[in-house]
Amino acid sequence: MTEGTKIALWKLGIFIFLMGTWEICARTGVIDPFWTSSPSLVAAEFWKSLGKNEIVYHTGVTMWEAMTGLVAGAIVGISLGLLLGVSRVLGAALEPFIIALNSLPRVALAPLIVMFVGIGFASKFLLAFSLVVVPLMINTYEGIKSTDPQLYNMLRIAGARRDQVFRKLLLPNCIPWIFSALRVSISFAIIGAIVGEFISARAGIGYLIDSAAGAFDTTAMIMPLIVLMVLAYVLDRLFVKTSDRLLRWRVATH
Amino acid sequence: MSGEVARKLRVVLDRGNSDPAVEIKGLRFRLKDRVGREIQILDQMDLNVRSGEFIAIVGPSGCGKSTLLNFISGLVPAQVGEVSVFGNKVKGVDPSIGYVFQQHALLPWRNVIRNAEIILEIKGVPQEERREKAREMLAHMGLEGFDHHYPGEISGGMRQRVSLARTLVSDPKLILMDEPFGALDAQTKLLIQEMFLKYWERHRKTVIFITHDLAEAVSLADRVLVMSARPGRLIAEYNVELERPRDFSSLRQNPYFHGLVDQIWRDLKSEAEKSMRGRD
Repeated sequence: MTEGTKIALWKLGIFIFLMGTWEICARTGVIDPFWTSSPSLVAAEFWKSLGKNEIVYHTGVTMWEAMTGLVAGAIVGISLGLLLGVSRVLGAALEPFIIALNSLPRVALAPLIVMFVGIGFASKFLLAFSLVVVPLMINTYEGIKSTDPQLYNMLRIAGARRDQVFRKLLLPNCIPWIFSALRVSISFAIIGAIVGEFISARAGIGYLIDSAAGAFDTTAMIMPLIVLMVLAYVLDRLFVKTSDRLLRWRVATH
Repeated sequence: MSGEVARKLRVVLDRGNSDPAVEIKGLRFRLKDRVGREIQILDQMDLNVRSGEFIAIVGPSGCGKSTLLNFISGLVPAQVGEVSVFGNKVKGVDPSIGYVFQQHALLPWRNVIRNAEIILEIKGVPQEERREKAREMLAHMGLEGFDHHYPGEISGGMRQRVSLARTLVSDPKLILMDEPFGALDAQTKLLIQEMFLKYWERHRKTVIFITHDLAEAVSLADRVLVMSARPGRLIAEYNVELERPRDFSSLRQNPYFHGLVDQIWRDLKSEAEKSMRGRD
């Protein structure tokens, strides 16, 4: 048996064990399913919700908020990071402010954002955006700062212009840094959208959970969470696969 | 039109081996260290390198050998003194100078062929032409079939050969080499030295080669210059009277070779000791 199959079997085993324990605890009354539901209850809830087209609609709303926030935050964050990276004075001058901004618990901005732009799409989009933009900016900036000065000298001696140094050295050097920031940003963006929905919303996973909480319906609270978890997991896997392919040189180095 | 004339004139001049490729007069250089003390790195450097000459510079660690190359390449502007390359005062970097670094300085995200062609790429040589030239040079370095490998996938000796190919393929008039083979294991080093010696004897480019390895200096160079401990200046100069083309493998059986290495070591020893004491 190869190591790969061994790991796959272990994964399956752990999954069955966790689900099984949960189900058995609920059925034997060790834990009251009123508080923690059970896999079968969640599955039944999922089918019901699927039939009413509810879960697909609300997941779509949340993912739309999160992904637009992610894309916009990435574009702005990467651009700012590059700008700070190439302009040494600007970078050094703004660094303390960026660090201060980064240490701020940005989800705490949610009420303020809702106050500014209302309870519609814009508040969730902005919240996702604000969670994503800072780490992307910081990582891009660090990526540029981490450039090997010897590589820079090599290009300078070859007579490279500033734009050539940027395209052939600085930009490729921060790609791995951008990718690792993007990876954590997928879940950051989803967190942003959900927190926004908790504050006030008419649709989305956060709204579903919040209204189920109002009815003390734990099954209806847990079901959308699991859907979201599976979705975020798949997105992460897809992202890692793509970035491994694009950063093949890096896989080769380590 | 006048550019054309100047180019032809230069071709003629380059053939005469007596005109200077590099002239350094009264070069001094000092730096402030972390606590703000002034350190004299180079003191009154004078150096003349003839066109087509292979110069090796040896000296104790920290004597400013690499700093000297930075001045010649134009990476660092001279504070006191004058540096000229092929008759022109050095003002900023000059793309006709090639530089081989101690570390390979390859771009890790570019495969071997794309690393080898990067200098030509920067100079605007069309892709087909530069790829052809790079492939030829890599083949010359014994690197056929590795075009699509990344630097992370090949050995240290191969990386250094790619780095050498990258510089040579751009056909520089002057090649500055800063301990280029210093990080290699002994056998790989001998093989690359021999390969480079053969290449050089065919093309006779002006080379300034910095090394710690006295045997390397004597086996490759026409002239070996010895630098003092910090502040660095030239303290001795040896002409290597070994016929060219040199048979690399039999050099080490030659009594003259060993005599010269010993003589240089006697000059260098007290300087190396000074530099060691300075470090403690």
